[in-house]
Amino acid sequence: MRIWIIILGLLYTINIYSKDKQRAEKGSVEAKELEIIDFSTIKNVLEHDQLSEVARKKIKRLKKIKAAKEQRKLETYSVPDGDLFWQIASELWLVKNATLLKWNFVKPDYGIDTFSQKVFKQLGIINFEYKVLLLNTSAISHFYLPYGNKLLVILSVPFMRSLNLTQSEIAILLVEEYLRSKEHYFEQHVMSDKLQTYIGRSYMQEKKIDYRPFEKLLSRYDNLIFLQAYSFQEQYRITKKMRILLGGEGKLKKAYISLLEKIANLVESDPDYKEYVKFYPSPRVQLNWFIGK
Amino acid sequence: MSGKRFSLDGRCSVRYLPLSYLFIFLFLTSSVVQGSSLLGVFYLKAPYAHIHKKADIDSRTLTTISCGHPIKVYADGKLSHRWRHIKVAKYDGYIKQEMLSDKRPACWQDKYPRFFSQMDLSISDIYYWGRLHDQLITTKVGIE
Repeated sequence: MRIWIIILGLLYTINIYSKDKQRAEKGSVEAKELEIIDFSTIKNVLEHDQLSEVARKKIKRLKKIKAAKEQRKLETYSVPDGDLFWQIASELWLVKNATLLKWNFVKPDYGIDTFSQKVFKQLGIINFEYKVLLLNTSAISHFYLPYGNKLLVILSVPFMRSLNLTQSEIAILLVEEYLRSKEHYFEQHVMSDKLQTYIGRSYMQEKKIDYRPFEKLLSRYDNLIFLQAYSFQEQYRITKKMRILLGGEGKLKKAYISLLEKIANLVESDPDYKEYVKFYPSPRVQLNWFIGK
Repeated sequence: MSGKRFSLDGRCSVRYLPLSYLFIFLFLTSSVVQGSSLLGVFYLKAPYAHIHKKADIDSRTLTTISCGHPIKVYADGKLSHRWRHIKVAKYDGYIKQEMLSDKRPACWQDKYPRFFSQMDLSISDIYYWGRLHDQLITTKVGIE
Protein backbone atom coordinates (compact mmCIF):
# COMPACT_ATOMS: atom_id res chain seq x y z
CA MET A 1 0.00 0.00 0.00
CA ARG A 2 2.81 2.34 0.96
CA ILE A 3 4.51 1.60 -2.30
CA TRP A 4 1.38 2.60 -4.24
CA ILE A 5 1.07 5.84 -2.36
CA ILE A 6 4.74 6.68 -3.16
CA ILE A 7 4.28 5.83 -6.88
CA LEU A 8 1.13 7.97 -7.13
CA GLY A 9 2.87 10.82 -5.36
CA LEU A 10 5.77 10.64 -7.82
CA LEU A 11 3.43 10.59 -10.85
CA TYR A 12 1.62 13.65 -9.52
CA THR A 13 4.83 15.67 -9.08
CA ILE A 14 6.07 14.67 -12.57
CA ASN A 15 2.76 15.82 -14.06
CA ILE A 16 2.92 19.19 -12.30
CA TYR A 17 6.57 19.70 -13.31
CA SER A 18 5.89 18.98 -17.01
CA LYS A 19 2.91 21.36 -17.03
CA ASP A 20 5.02 24.08 -15.46
CA LYS A 21 7.75 23.53 -18.03
CA GLN A 22 5.26 23.74 -20.94
CA ARG A 23 3.89 26.94 -19.49
CA ALA A 24 7.36 28.41 -19.10
CA GLU A 25 8.33 27.53 -22.67
CA LYS A 26 5.12 29.02 -24.02
CA GLY A 27 5.81 32.10 -22.00
CA SER A 28 9.34 32.50 -23.37
CA VAL A 29 8.13 32.14 -27.00
CA GLU A 30 5.51 34.78 -26.37
CA ALA A 31 8.13 36.96 -24.79
CA LYS A 32 10.40 36.54 -27.80
CA GLU A 33 7.56 37.37 -30.18
CA LEU A 34 6.83 40.42 -28.14
CA GLU A 35 10.47 41.35 -28.25
CA ILE A 36 10.43 41.27 -32.06
CA ILE A 37 7.10 42.89 -32.43
CA ASP A 38 7.72 45.60 -29.90
CA PHE A 39 11.14 46.61 -31.30
CA SER A 40 9.68 49.75 -32.81
CA THR A 41 8.29 50.77 -29.47
CA ILE A 42 11.77 50.87 -27.99
CA LYS A 43 13.27 52.58 -31.02
CA ASN A 44 13.27 55.86 -29.24
CA VAL A 45 15.09 54.31 -26.33
CA LEU A 46 17.66 52.80 -28.69
CA GLU A 47 18.14 56.10 -30.40
CA HIS A 48 18.48 57.74 -27.06
CA ASP A 49 21.21 55.19 -26.20
CA GLN A 50 22.85 55.91 -29.58
CA LEU A 51 22.61 52.23 -30.45
CA SER A 52 21.24 52.98 -33.93
CA GLU A 53 24.21 55.31 -34.43
CA VAL A 54 26.56 52.48 -33.46
CA ALA A 55 24.77 50.16 -35.89
CA ARG A 56 25.09 52.75 -38.67
CA LYS A 57 28.80 53.16 -37.99
CA LYS A 58 29.20 49.39 -37.98
CA ILE A 59 27.53 49.09 -41.39
CA LYS A 60 29.69 51.93 -42.71
CA ARG A 61 32.84 50.23 -41.40
CA LEU A 62 31.83 46.91 -42.94
CA LYS A 63 31.23 48.63 -46.29
CA LYS A 64 34.68 50.22 -46.05
CA ILE A 65 36.31 46.86 -45.27
CA LYS A 66 34.46 45.27 -48.19
CA ALA A 67 35.55 48.05 -50.56
CA ALA A 68 39.17 47.77 -49.35
CA LYS A 69 39.04 44.01 -49.93
CA GLU A 70 37.74 44.55 -53.45
CA GLN A 71 40.43 47.15 -54.08
CA ARG A 72 43.12 44.78 -52.82
CA LYS A 73 41.80 42.05 -55.09
CA LEU A 74 41.87 44.44 -58.02
CA GLU A 75 45.40 45.65 -57.25
CA THR A 76 46.68 42.09 -57.05
CA TYR A 77 46.24 41.88 -60.81
CA SER A 78 47.09 45.52 -61.57
CA VAL A 79 50.07 47.38 -62.93
CA PRO A 80 51.21 50.13 -60.51
CA ASP A 81 50.19 53.62 -61.53
CA GLY A 82 51.23 57.24 -61.18
CA ASP A 83 54.44 58.20 -59.40
CA LEU A 84 55.01 54.67 -58.15
CA PHE A 85 55.12 53.26 -61.67
CA TRP A 86 57.94 55.59 -62.68
CA GLN A 87 59.83 55.01 -59.44
CA ILE A 88 59.75 51.25 -59.98
CA ALA A 89 60.71 51.56 -63.65
CA SER A 90 63.68 53.86 -62.98
CA GLU A 91 64.96 51.88 -60.02
CA LEU A 92 64.65 48.60 -61.89
CA TRP A 93 66.46 50.07 -64.88
CA LEU A 94 69.31 51.18 -62.59
CA VAL A 95 69.42 47.75 -60.93
CA LYS A 96 69.50 45.92 -64.27
CA ASN A 97 72.24 48.23 -65.55
CA ALA A 98 74.31 48.31 -62.36
CA THR A 99 77.41 46.79 -63.95
CA LEU A 100 77.20 48.98 -67.04
CA LEU A 101 76.62 52.22 -65.14
CA LYS A 102 79.10 51.36 -62.37
CA TRP A 103 77.25 53.14 -59.60
CA ASN A 104 78.21 50.64 -56.92
CA PHE A 105 81.65 51.98 -56.10
CA VAL A 106 83.53 53.43 -53.14
CA LYS A 107 83.71 57.24 -53.22
CA PRO A 108 84.23 60.10 -50.83
CA ASP A 109 81.40 62.28 -49.61
CA TYR A 110 81.42 65.15 -52.09
CA GLY A 111 78.85 67.05 -50.04
CA ILE A 112 76.61 67.36 -53.09
CA ASP A 113 73.50 67.36 -50.90
CA THR A 114 74.61 70.32 -48.80
CA PHE A 115 75.67 72.77 -51.48
CA SER A 116 73.02 71.83 -54.05
CA GLN A 117 70.32 72.26 -51.42
CA LYS A 118 71.54 75.83 -50.85
CA VAL A 119 71.34 76.62 -54.57
CA PHE A 120 67.83 75.16 -54.91
CA LYS A 121 66.71 77.24 -51.95
CA GLN A 122 68.38 80.34 -53.34
CA LEU A 123 66.44 79.88 -56.58
CA GLY A 124 63.19 79.41 -54.70
CA ILE A 125 62.84 75.75 -55.69
CA ILE A 126 61.56 74.36 -52.42
CA ASN A 127 59.41 71.67 -50.89
CA PHE A 128 60.68 68.77 -52.93
CA GLU A 129 63.04 65.83 -52.65
CA TYR A 130 65.83 64.86 -54.99
CA LYS A 131 68.20 61.95 -55.25
CA VAL A 132 71.60 61.84 -56.91
CA LEU A 133 73.34 58.65 -57.99
CA LEU A 134 77.01 58.97 -58.85
CA LEU A 135 78.38 56.84 -61.67
CA ASN A 136 81.93 55.70 -62.18
CA THR A 137 81.73 55.82 -65.96
CA SER A 138 82.20 58.44 -68.64
CA ALA A 139 79.67 56.72 -70.94
CA ILE A 140 76.90 58.84 -69.44
CA SER A 141 77.51 62.37 -68.21
CA HIS A 142 74.25 63.38 -66.52
CA PHE A 143 70.61 62.41 -66.87
CA TYR A 144 67.43 62.73 -64.93
CA LEU A 145 65.22 59.67 -64.62
CA PRO A 146 61.46 59.84 -64.08
CA TYR A 147 60.75 59.40 -60.40
CA GLY A 148 57.24 60.69 -59.83
CA ASN A 149 57.11 63.91 -57.87
CA LYS A 150 60.76 63.53 -56.87
CA LEU A 151 63.88 64.15 -58.91
CA LEU A 152 66.42 61.42 -59.61
CA VAL A 153 69.66 62.40 -61.33
CA ILE A 154 72.50 60.15 -62.40
CA LEU A 155 75.78 62.01 -62.56
CA SER A 156 79.15 60.79 -63.77
CA VAL A 157 82.14 61.29 -61.45
CA PRO A 158 84.72 61.06 -64.31
CA PHE A 159 82.68 63.76 -66.13
CA MET A 160 82.78 66.00 -63.06
CA ARG A 161 86.52 65.39 -62.67
CA SER A 162 87.31 66.00 -66.36
CA LEU A 163 85.55 69.35 -66.16
CA ASN A 164 86.95 70.13 -62.74
CA LEU A 165 83.50 71.28 -61.72
CA THR A 166 82.99 73.56 -58.76
CA GLN A 167 80.25 73.02 -56.20
CA SER A 168 78.01 75.68 -57.74
CA GLU A 169 78.54 74.29 -61.24
CA ILE A 170 77.43 70.83 -60.06
CA ALA A 171 74.44 72.38 -58.33
CA ILE A 172 73.52 74.29 -61.51
CA LEU A 173 73.72 71.07 -63.50
CA LEU A 174 71.19 69.56 -61.08
CA VAL A 175 68.96 72.61 -61.49
CA GLU A 176 69.08 72.12 -65.27
CA GLU A 177 68.00 68.50 -64.80
CA TYR A 178 65.24 69.68 -62.48
CA LEU A 179 63.85 71.89 -65.25
CA ARG A 180 64.01 68.99 -67.71
CA SER A 181 62.09 66.82 -65.25
CA LYS A 182 59.43 69.52 -64.88
CA GLU A 183 58.99 69.48 -68.66
CA HIS A 184 58.67 65.65 -68.52
CA TYR A 185 61.03 65.28 -71.47
CA PHE A 186 62.16 61.82 -70.47
CA GLU A 187 58.61 60.53 -70.00
CA GLN A 188 57.58 61.97 -73.37
CA HIS A 189 60.47 60.20 -75.12
CA VAL A 190 59.75 56.78 -73.63
CA MET A 191 55.94 57.01 -73.65
CA SER A 192 53.76 55.21 -76.19
CA ASP A 193 49.99 54.86 -76.63
CA LYS A 194 50.16 51.30 -75.41
CA LEU A 195 52.13 52.29 -72.33
CA GLN A 196 49.62 55.02 -71.55
CA THR A 197 46.84 52.45 -71.24
CA TYR A 198 49.16 49.96 -69.56
CA ILE A 199 50.03 52.13 -66.52
CA GLY A 200 47.58 51.32 -63.74
CA ARG A 201 45.66 48.79 -65.85
CA SER A 202 43.95 45.86 -64.14
CA TYR A 203 44.38 42.34 -65.53
CA MET A 204 41.67 40.92 -63.27
CA GLN A 205 39.83 39.25 -66.18
CA GLU A 206 42.93 37.73 -67.76
CA LYS A 207 44.36 36.68 -64.37
CA LYS A 208 47.85 37.25 -65.79
CA ILE A 209 49.67 40.54 -66.15
CA ASP A 210 51.21 41.33 -69.51
CA TYR A 211 54.79 42.25 -68.64
CA ARG A 212 55.97 42.97 -72.20
CA PRO A 213 55.04 46.70 -72.27
CA PHE A 214 57.11 47.18 -69.12
CA GLU A 215 60.10 45.38 -70.66
CA LYS A 216 59.70 47.52 -73.76
CA LEU A 217 59.73 50.62 -71.56
CA LEU A 218 63.05 49.58 -70.04
CA SER A 219 64.53 49.09 -73.51
CA ARG A 220 63.26 52.60 -74.37
CA TYR A 221 65.19 53.85 -71.34
CA ASP A 222 68.31 52.20 -72.85
CA ASN A 223 67.63 53.81 -76.18
CA LEU A 224 67.20 57.31 -74.78
CA ILE A 225 70.10 57.21 -72.32
CA PHE A 226 72.66 55.32 -74.40
CA LEU A 227 71.74 56.35 -77.95
CA GLN A 228 69.21 59.11 -78.50
CA ALA A 229 68.80 61.77 -75.77
CA TYR A 230 67.31 65.21 -76.28
CA SER A 231 66.50 67.30 -79.31
CA PHE A 232 67.70 70.78 -80.27
CA GLN A 233 64.29 72.28 -79.47
CA GLU A 234 64.25 70.73 -76.01
CA GLN A 235 67.73 72.08 -75.31
CA TYR A 236 66.67 75.51 -76.49
CA ARG A 237 63.61 75.53 -74.21
CA ILE A 238 65.67 74.46 -71.20
CA THR A 239 68.37 77.05 -71.86
CA LYS A 240 65.76 79.79 -72.12
CA LYS A 241 64.19 78.61 -68.88
CA MET A 242 67.61 78.63 -67.22
CA ARG A 243 68.09 82.18 -68.43
CA ILE A 244 64.84 83.27 -66.80
CA LEU A 245 65.52 81.35 -63.61
CA LEU A 246 69.08 82.64 -63.15
CA GLY A 247 68.12 86.17 -64.24
CA GLY A 248 68.76 87.96 -60.97
CA GLU A 249 71.42 85.57 -59.65
CA GLY A 250 74.77 86.97 -60.77
CA LYS A 251 76.97 84.29 -59.19
CA LEU A 252 74.83 81.38 -60.36
CA LYS A 253 74.55 82.89 -63.83
CA LYS A 254 78.36 83.05 -63.99
CA ALA A 255 78.54 79.46 -62.76
CA TYR A 256 76.19 78.32 -65.56
CA ILE A 257 78.18 80.18 -68.21
CA SER A 258 81.38 78.68 -66.85
CA LEU A 259 79.77 75.21 -66.88
CA LEU A 260 78.65 75.53 -70.50
CA GLU A 261 82.10 76.82 -71.54
CA LYS A 262 83.82 73.93 -69.78
CA ILE A 263 81.51 71.39 -71.44
CA ALA A 264 82.00 73.01 -74.88
CA ASN A 265 85.79 72.86 -74.46
CA LEU A 266 85.68 69.28 -73.22
CA VAL A 267 83.59 67.91 -76.09
CA GLU A 268 85.86 69.67 -78.59
CA SER A 269 89.08 68.38 -77.07
CA ASP A 270 88.39 65.02 -75.38
CA PRO A 271 87.40 62.14 -77.70
CA ASP A 272 85.78 60.38 -74.71
CA TYR A 273 83.08 63.06 -74.69
CA LYS A 274 82.60 63.52 -78.44
CA GLU A 275 79.25 61.75 -78.13
CA TYR A 276 78.02 64.32 -75.62
CA VAL A 277 76.67 66.64 -78.33
CA LYS A 278 74.45 63.81 -79.55
CA PHE A 279 72.71 63.79 -76.17
CA TYR A 280 72.69 67.49 -75.36
CA PRO A 281 73.02 69.31 -78.68
CA SER A 282 75.82 71.83 -78.96
CA PRO A 283 76.93 73.39 -75.67
CA ARG A 284 78.53 76.24 -77.68
CA VAL A 285 75.17 77.13 -79.25
CA GLN A 286 73.53 76.70 -75.87
CA LEU A 287 75.96 79.22 -74.44
CA ASN A 288 74.98 81.73 -77.14
CA TRP A 289 71.30 81.14 -76.40
CA PHE A 290 71.94 81.74 -72.74
CA ILE A 291 73.90 84.96 -73.09
CA GLY A 292 71.40 86.10 -75.73
CA LYS A 293 73.59 86.25 -78.83
CA MET B 1 64.61 57.61 16.82
CA SER B 2 68.19 56.95 17.58
CA GLY B 3 68.67 54.46 14.70
CA LYS B 4 71.93 53.25 13.31
CA ARG B 5 73.96 55.98 11.75
CA PHE B 6 76.11 55.53 8.65
CA SER B 7 79.46 54.28 9.69
CA LEU B 8 82.67 53.51 7.88
CA ASP B 9 82.58 49.86 8.90
CA GLY B 10 79.97 49.21 6.20
CA ARG B 11 76.69 49.44 8.09
CA CYS B 12 74.19 52.07 7.05
CA SER B 13 71.15 53.62 8.57
CA VAL B 14 67.64 52.98 7.26
CA ARG B 15 67.25 56.68 6.61
CA TYR B 16 70.02 56.48 3.96
CA LEU B 17 68.33 53.65 2.07
CA PRO B 18 66.14 55.86 -0.21
CA LEU B 19 69.24 57.87 -1.08
CA SER B 20 71.20 54.78 -2.01
CA TYR B 21 68.25 53.52 -4.12
CA LEU B 22 68.26 56.86 -5.94
CA PHE B 23 71.99 56.53 -6.67
CA ILE B 24 71.54 52.97 -7.96
CA PHE B 25 68.61 54.10 -10.13
CA LEU B 26 70.59 57.03 -11.56
CA PHE B 27 73.57 54.77 -12.25
CA LEU B 28 71.44 52.20 -14.03
CA THR B 29 69.55 54.72 -16.17
CA SER B 30 72.75 56.50 -17.18
CA SER B 31 74.31 53.20 -18.25
CA VAL B 32 71.22 52.39 -20.32
CA VAL B 33 71.43 55.74 -22.16
CA GLN B 34 75.17 55.37 -22.71
CA GLY B 35 74.66 51.85 -24.00
CA SER B 36 71.91 50.89 -26.41
CA SER B 37 68.36 51.38 -25.27
CA LEU B 38 65.53 50.31 -27.51
CA LEU B 39 63.89 53.24 -29.28
CA GLY B 40 61.16 51.18 -30.87
CA VAL B 41 60.24 48.94 -33.74
CA PHE B 42 60.50 50.52 -37.16
CA TYR B 43 59.86 49.13 -40.64
CA LEU B 44 61.85 49.13 -43.86
CA LYS B 45 60.22 51.35 -46.47
CA ALA B 46 62.72 50.84 -49.30
CA PRO B 47 62.11 47.83 -51.58
CA TYR B 48 65.34 46.24 -50.35
CA ALA B 49 68.10 47.29 -47.99
CA HIS B 50 71.44 46.12 -46.68
CA ILE B 51 72.26 45.94 -42.99
CA HIS B 52 75.85 46.98 -42.52
CA LYS B 53 78.38 46.01 -39.90
CA LYS B 54 79.38 49.65 -39.42
CA ALA B 55 77.59 52.93 -40.01
CA ASP B 56 79.08 53.24 -43.48
CA ILE B 57 77.61 52.27 -46.85
CA ASP B 58 80.86 50.58 -47.85
CA SER B 59 81.13 48.42 -44.74
CA ARG B 60 80.38 44.70 -44.89
CA THR B 61 76.78 43.67 -45.54
CA LEU B 62 75.40 41.43 -42.81
CA THR B 63 72.11 40.67 -44.52
CA THR B 64 69.59 42.04 -47.01
CA ILE B 65 66.00 42.66 -45.96
CA SER B 66 62.90 43.53 -47.95
CA CYS B 67 60.22 46.19 -47.57
CA GLY B 68 58.02 46.03 -44.48
CA HIS B 69 60.55 44.05 -42.43
CA PRO B 70 60.30 45.00 -38.73
CA ILE B 71 63.53 46.42 -37.32
CA LYS B 72 64.46 47.11 -33.69
CA VAL B 73 66.10 50.52 -33.49
CA TYR B 74 68.46 51.35 -30.61
CA ALA B 75 69.67 54.70 -29.37
CA ASP B 76 73.28 55.42 -30.21
CA GLY B 77 74.55 58.88 -29.37
CA LYS B 78 77.78 58.42 -31.30
CA LEU B 79 76.03 58.04 -34.65
CA SER B 80 75.29 60.78 -37.15
CA HIS B 81 71.61 61.54 -37.78
CA ARG B 82 71.85 59.67 -41.08
CA TRP B 83 72.43 56.27 -39.51
CA ARG B 84 70.60 54.04 -37.06
CA HIS B 85 71.83 51.24 -34.84
CA ILE B 86 69.48 48.31 -35.40
CA LYS B 87 68.88 44.65 -34.68
CA VAL B 88 67.20 42.27 -37.07
CA ALA B 89 66.98 38.64 -35.97
CA LYS B 90 70.54 37.70 -34.97
CA TYR B 91 72.10 40.61 -36.85
CA ASP B 92 73.30 43.66 -34.97
CA GLY B 93 74.21 46.40 -37.43
CA TYR B 94 73.46 49.74 -39.01
CA ILE B 95 71.10 51.11 -41.63
CA LYS B 96 70.48 54.50 -43.22
CA GLN B 97 67.82 56.45 -41.34
CA GLU B 98 65.96 57.49 -44.50
CA MET B 99 64.98 53.88 -45.20
CA LEU B 100 63.02 53.49 -41.97
CA SER B 101 59.40 54.22 -41.20
CA ASP B 102 57.77 54.23 -37.79
CA LYS B 103 54.57 52.86 -39.34
CA ARG B 104 54.17 49.71 -41.40
CA PRO B 105 54.58 50.95 -45.00
CA ALA B 106 52.37 49.97 -47.92
CA CYS B 107 55.05 48.10 -49.86
CA TRP B 108 54.39 47.90 -53.58
CA GLN B 109 55.66 44.31 -53.67
CA ASP B 110 52.72 43.37 -51.44
CA LYS B 111 50.26 45.69 -53.12
CA TYR B 112 51.00 44.50 -56.65
CA PRO B 113 52.17 40.90 -56.09
CA ARG B 114 51.42 39.62 -59.62
CA PHE B 115 53.30 42.49 -61.26
CA PHE B 116 56.18 42.03 -58.84
CA SER B 117 56.40 38.28 -59.49
CA GLN B 118 56.63 38.99 -63.24
CA MET B 119 59.87 40.87 -62.58
CA ASP B 120 61.52 37.59 -61.71
CA LEU B 121 64.33 39.22 -59.76
CA SER B 122 67.56 37.31 -59.35
CA ILE B 123 69.66 37.32 -56.18
CA SER B 124 72.06 39.81 -57.74
CA ASP B 125 69.12 42.09 -58.65
CA ILE B 126 67.99 42.04 -55.01
CA TYR B 127 71.55 42.72 -53.88
CA TYR B 128 71.88 45.68 -56.26
CA TRP B 129 68.44 47.04 -55.36
CA GLY B 130 69.55 47.14 -51.73
CA ARG B 131 72.83 48.76 -52.72
CA LEU B 132 71.01 51.32 -54.86
CA HIS B 133 69.27 52.73 -51.80
CA ASP B 134 72.61 52.86 -50.01
CA GLN B 135 74.22 54.80 -52.86
CA LEU B 136 71.44 57.30 -53.52
CA ILE B 137 72.21 60.71 -52.07
CA THR B 138 68.84 61.96 -50.86
CA THR B 139 68.17 65.63 -50.14
CA LYS B 140 65.00 67.38 -49.11
CA VAL B 141 64.54 71.04 -49.84
CA GLY B 142 62.09 72.17 -47.21
CA ILE B 143 60.20 75.34 -46.52
CA GLU B 144 61.88 77.55 -43.94
